[in-house]
Amino acid sequence: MATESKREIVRLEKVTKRFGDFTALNGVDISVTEGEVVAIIGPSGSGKSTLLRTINQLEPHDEGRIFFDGMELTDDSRTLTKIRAETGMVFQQFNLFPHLTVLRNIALAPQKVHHRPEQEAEERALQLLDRVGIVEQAEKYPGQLSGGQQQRVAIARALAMDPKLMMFDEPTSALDPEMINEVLKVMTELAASGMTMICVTHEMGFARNAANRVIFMDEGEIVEIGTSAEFFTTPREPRTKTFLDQILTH
Amino acid sequence: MIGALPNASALSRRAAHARARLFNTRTNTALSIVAIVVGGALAFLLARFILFEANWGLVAINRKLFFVGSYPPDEAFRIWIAVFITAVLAALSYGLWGGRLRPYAIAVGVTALLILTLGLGTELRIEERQYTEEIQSASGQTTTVSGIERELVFDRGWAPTWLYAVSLGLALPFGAPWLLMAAVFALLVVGAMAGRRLTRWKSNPILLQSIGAAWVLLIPVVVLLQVGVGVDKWESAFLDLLVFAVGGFFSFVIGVFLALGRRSPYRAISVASVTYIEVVRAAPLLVWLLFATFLEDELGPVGEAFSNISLTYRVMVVFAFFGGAYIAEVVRGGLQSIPRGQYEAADAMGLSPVEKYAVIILPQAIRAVVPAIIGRFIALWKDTALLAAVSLVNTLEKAKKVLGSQTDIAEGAFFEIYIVVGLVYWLVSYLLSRLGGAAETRLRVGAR
Repeated sequence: MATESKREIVRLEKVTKRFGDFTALNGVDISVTEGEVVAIIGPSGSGKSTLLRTINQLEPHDEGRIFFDGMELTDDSRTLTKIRAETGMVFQQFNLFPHLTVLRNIALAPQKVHHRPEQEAEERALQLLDRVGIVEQAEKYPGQLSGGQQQRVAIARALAMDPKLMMFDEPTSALDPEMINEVLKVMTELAASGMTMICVTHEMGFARNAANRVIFMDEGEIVEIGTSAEFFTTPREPRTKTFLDQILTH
Repeated sequence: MIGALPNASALSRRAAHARARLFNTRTNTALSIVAIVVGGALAFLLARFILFEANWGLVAINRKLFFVGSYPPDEAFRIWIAVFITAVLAALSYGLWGGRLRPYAIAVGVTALLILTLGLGTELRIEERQYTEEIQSASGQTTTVSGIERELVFDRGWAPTWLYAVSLGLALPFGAPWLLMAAVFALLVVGAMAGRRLTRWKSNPILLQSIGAAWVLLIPVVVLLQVGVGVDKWESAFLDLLVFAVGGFFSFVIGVFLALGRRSPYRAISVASVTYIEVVRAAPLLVWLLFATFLEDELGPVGEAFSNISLTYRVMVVFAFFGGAYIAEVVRGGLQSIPRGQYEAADAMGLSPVEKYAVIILPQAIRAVVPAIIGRFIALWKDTALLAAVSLVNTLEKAKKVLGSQTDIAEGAFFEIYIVVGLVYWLVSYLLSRLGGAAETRLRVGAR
């Protein structure tokens, strides 16, 4: 595969995460290279979100090793600062800051974390808003926007950090059906532009069309990894087949 | 009805409205009649008292005592400067952001004017009367004693009594520092007009920050202006206001830090914060005030140093730390109302913990609890009434002293005096409440 010659952005080795007695992640190995789009699917409670959240250490892992752009995440707070400054995350519930305007939501982190001047950060924010198609909403507050618009602002906010990796945690699950497509369109464009992306999603159409690889997880383990073409047409594992049957029959 | 005059129809609509709201059922009609009779009687008695019976002259001659007590007259400029700065700031802020506050500003202004001018024009006169009296001693001898009897009399000479209560504006020039009062009034008007002119920039962060900073700096400036007078000269409303302003400001700062400390991941800090809050709230303010008064060197060098500070400052410290414990619990409630996603979003974008709390969490948490914080401030303001218990002369104590010492003229006039004391407490409480309401409305913009 051509991607193998490319730079590796994220590698997880035998990563385990426990919440009390519950093992959310059980010895997970993943590698994502530059420009790759990876979709993670699986039933709820299978550890998909936890996997994403260990990468930027919203949930510190208990065992195993995580490498980001050649640097291992350790107890040293500098590695934490670096991974968070260089990854963007989009949440299911958007998590925009309701007391700040759309523009300030986006310009905030570049100013505080990358120390960009305010004017430069806001100009860039307007460019990003234009890219996600809602530049006219810049001076509004998040509460005045529809769910789909809010999620597009959240994507622009994550992109404002010029991230090496974008992570999406079920970005369309909290949206009304008619708003899902506007968000998926932005994500698809982003994937086509060469952004490295890991997406936890229930949108099989997106996984099939925009992703290079699909990872199927169940009970904290990776059951199957395949290119999106072979994953949906010729799944190898019985658990994958059952899952796909359940969601694709309707 | 077609053809009815617009006035008549408006009147009949109002009557219909009253019928529907006040006299729609038998019970409601009975209750309404009782309420109208009782309310009318009270209003009548109050009006009769204010206009015809009250001896406002007593308020007039003691007004200075209610504001600044026995503050040395030669040093009065220190207070006037503070009043001038406050007036300019208040007027500028009102002109800029106070549009919606107009009805409340009018209420506050009218009350302030009332306190300032009640009974103005009244003068004290000493009436002398020659008297002769025969005294019979035990032995049966009769002695004639004669002399001059002096009596204090209010001269209400130049206008009918009831005018004093209503002709306030006219009477203004008769007060002693009337020129200075006129200057304050002029500053208020000019400041408000200047503020109006600046409306264009009312959302400008630099203007917002500089006026906010000016308000915060006002407290140390006013306190610094007192250097050279000695805090033991502070009395009455001036003392109450300073104790409240200093105590209130620092109680907010302390409260925010305690609320954050309570949630600290470092156990030592969180346990210390909880212990502090619980201990302070376990005793009434009065007890802490007495503690601060009688604390000598039992607590070693710290206690000794503390007891060497002037009592007024010690009381301010008590107010700050006592109020802080309550505000901490209010802010904690606000912090708990912030969804976890806000913390995660701030973390995920690489904000430091300080930035996360300063920019994302605290602004949201505090605006969620603005009404409760204002409630705490109002309570703290009224708690200044307790200062009398530690031998500081607050407004209330001053009023009592006036009633106790001027028995010749204050006889039976306690109602007039306490009405003014009540108005002073009400004025600041109402101001706080309306400012809080305005802050709430402003901050609600963009709330979910």
